[in-house]
Amino acid sequence: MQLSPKISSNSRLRITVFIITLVLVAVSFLYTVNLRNSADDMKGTPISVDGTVNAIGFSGDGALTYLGIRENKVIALDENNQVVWEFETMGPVLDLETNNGYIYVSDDERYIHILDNSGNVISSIKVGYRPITVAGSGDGQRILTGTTMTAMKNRLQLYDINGEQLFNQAPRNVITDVYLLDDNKHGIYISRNAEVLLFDEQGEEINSNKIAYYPVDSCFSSDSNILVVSDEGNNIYAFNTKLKLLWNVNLNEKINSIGIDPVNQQVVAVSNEGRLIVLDDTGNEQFRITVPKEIRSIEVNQSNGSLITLKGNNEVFRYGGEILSSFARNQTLLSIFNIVNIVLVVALIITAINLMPKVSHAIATRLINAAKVLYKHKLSYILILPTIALLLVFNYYPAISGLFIAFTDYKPGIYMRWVGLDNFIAMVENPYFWTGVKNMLIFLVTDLLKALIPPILFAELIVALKSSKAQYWTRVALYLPGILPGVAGLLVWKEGILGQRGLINSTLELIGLGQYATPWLGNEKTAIWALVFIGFPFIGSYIIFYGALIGIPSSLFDAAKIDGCGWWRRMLFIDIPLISPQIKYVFVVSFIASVQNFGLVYLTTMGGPGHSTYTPILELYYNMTKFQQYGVAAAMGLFLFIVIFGATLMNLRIQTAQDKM
Amino acid sequence: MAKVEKEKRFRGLNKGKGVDGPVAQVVIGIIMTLTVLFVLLPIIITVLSSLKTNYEAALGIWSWPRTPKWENWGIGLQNITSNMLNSLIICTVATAGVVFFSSIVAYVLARHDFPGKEVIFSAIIALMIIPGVLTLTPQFLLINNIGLKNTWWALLLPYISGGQVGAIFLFRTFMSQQPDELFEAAKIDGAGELMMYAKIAVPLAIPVLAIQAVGTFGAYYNDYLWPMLVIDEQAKQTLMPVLRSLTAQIAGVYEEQGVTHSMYLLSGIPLIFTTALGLKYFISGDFAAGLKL
Repeated sequence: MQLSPKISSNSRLRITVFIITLVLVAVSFLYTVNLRNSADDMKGTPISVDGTVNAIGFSGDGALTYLGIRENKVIALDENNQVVWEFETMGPVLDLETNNGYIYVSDDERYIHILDNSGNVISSIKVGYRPITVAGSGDGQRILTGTTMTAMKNRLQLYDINGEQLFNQAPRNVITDVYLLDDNKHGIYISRNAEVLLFDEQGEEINSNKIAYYPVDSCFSSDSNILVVSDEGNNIYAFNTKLKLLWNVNLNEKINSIGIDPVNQQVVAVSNEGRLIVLDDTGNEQFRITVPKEIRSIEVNQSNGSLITLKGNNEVFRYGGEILSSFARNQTLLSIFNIVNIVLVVALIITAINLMPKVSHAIATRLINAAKVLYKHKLSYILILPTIALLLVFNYYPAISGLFIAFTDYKPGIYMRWVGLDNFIAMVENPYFWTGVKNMLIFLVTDLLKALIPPILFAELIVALKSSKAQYWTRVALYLPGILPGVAGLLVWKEGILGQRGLINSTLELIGLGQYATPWLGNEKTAIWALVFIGFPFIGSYIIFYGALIGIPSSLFDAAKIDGCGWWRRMLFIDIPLISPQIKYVFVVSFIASVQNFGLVYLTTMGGPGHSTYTPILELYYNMTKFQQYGVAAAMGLFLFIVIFGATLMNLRIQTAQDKM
Repeated sequence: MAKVEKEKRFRGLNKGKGVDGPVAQVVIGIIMTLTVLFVLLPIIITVLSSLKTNYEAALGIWSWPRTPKWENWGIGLQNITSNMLNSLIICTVATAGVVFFSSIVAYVLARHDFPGKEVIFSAIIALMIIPGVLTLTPQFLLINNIGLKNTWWALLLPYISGGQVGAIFLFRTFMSQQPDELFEAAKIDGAGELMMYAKIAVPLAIPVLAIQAVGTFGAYYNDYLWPMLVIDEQAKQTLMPVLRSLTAQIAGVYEEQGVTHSMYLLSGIPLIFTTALGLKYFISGDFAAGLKL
């Protein structure tokens, strides 16, 4: 047992490297976990609010948060989310705006209340129309409001503290937001018809500017004198107080809400996909982060940059002022550390292998050999690479992630939560699902019968025709309907044949059976059978059977004839066993097509009348589009796959090239 | 005795009894004529309805268009052209992609020998048993997440990818039956791999490539669910998903029922060409008989 000093020092070095790597991996993983947890902390502080929040504002010093509640009140919260005071309004709060210690609240009973910081009412003014947006001056003397009666009657009104109306203008469209500038001589309003207007003391228009689409949200900061407006075309515009356009950007995501953060000199927007997008004060995008919560609306505390967000209508969250930059930093770090972790793990594996010289040598030889093989056959690999890459991305990845998504609650880009079998439970607890399964089985059985019996019969009849010319032209004629696209064909069946004034009803009337005429697809009793009838006389894939039948050696037929075997018996006992490979093929293909047949029901009855023709694939489609329940949709996909797989497994033996074609 | 009996039967057979008898032949002829009529019925109805005036249409489905209103076809064609062009471009590119890539892969799998060949082939063919319904949701989410939604790539990439599975299977079977001698001779003459693919394998496989192309084109032209999911704008959409809404839009403008039917009919124009192309191959049944398990 003598180790030469060289080897032992060598192995000591190896062990040291391994241990260092191991420590690095552990540290890095711990840090990543920590980062992840702190990302979860970004959820903010939930605030319990009794009621639905319609409007949010902050006191001048930023210490108090005011929530305008639909249930007729304004609540003031301190920084610890304790209620400081409450104020009862006449009706549901429509808008709430603060300026320099004054709170302006409008309600649905057409009152505007002016409150001070302690919740004492200074004045309540009754206005004529619904004050959907309100703004007030910093001295508490002037109240500007945009009101509406119906879609056609809109007003821009300025009142003083005593309720005296100073002007009353009739704008062309609904006013979505009003702002009173600090000089008290000018104001800005945003009109529903995609316009931003500047007006003077009399409410006369001075200047206006168009935006591309309908306005969604806006925010005016008197600290930075910037007005930002977002529209339905994903644009954000920034204007100065003269309504000069400072910049505009397109964010490529639907914007729900926007706010100005004068503390950090940035603009914060919330997208419909649940991302917070932060722009600097010149419109350059700083970062875009996915927040763990869906956010409908956002309000920035002008004095300290903290955020209040709304999820849905009554889930309120408060975030500290540094939250955005630290979250973004964490996200960046997280993505870096994800890569670092992978590198470290690879390094760890290499150093671990390195501990055992024999193994490492063997592996190195193998790798070199593999590389040699790859290089030797490089042309083959390069040629199949594009296809393999496409299949991996667009077929394998979806197939595997489909299995996974079925067990999660998935909101793309926002969150993905493991929910176990919940999606499947939701699926089977939905009563429509079982109606759908019943219909699916009806379609399945009839589709299989339709795909096998008539086509085999037709193929036999064509073969039985003695004239080869007749055979040929029959086949040509039967092939011609291929020029009518499937969708068009279905619509023709729906309207021209099965409709109220379609072929069937017209024929019934013609032969005096008019009393049996009915809208076949609109009648709950007949709808599903009318759908089954579509495609009559179901020639289907007869050509496959025809091809197989003419491939049967004629000597067999002759022998059968000589033995006195009739046409029917020959068909049942000779032809059908001989064409069973084709029958199996048609069976499997029809089975798959039937379960996945979406157009048939969607284009004709959309599952109706009632739910009489509802199918699982239709529900899958609705889950993906209308309800955006991707987890449930994937679970249904998995269910249908199992149904199909069961049938395929019974029949399928994949042919490889060794089998004859 | 037995011989005489057999002889008798054989003669009977030739006399034309049973299925071959004149009565049976007439019955079969009638059945097949009726079948053909029923099969063609949707097209006949569409052609007739597309040429009727509203008054004639109101008279019922059995009324005959006295003076065919051909202008219905003009209006109908005008209104489906832009979406039909979308369909044509997308289906042509997708079909070309499928045939091009899968023929290359099939050639490599059939002619080359390299480690992992069988595994790769099995991995490709395994996708045949995965139905679209399983991958529908995740594929939609994938397209959504990589920002391809509402672009033609959302159609082209999955089409070119998914369409290859069946095509590779078919082409490989076909190409592996091409005679080795041809390729060996070419190799001796100094032909490279690409030359052998382009000058020997592909020309010999033209029928099967054509059949696959016709089938792929038709399938994508008729596709309905996928484009409806991934394309939001009508201007970018293929024809089939918008056919119903197009007819509804036009019905509001022209108030001619015939136009609706002309649009149904004319939406099949590209399929007329592919049908004509496929006729030669499909009608004989030789190829179809190869579809078996």
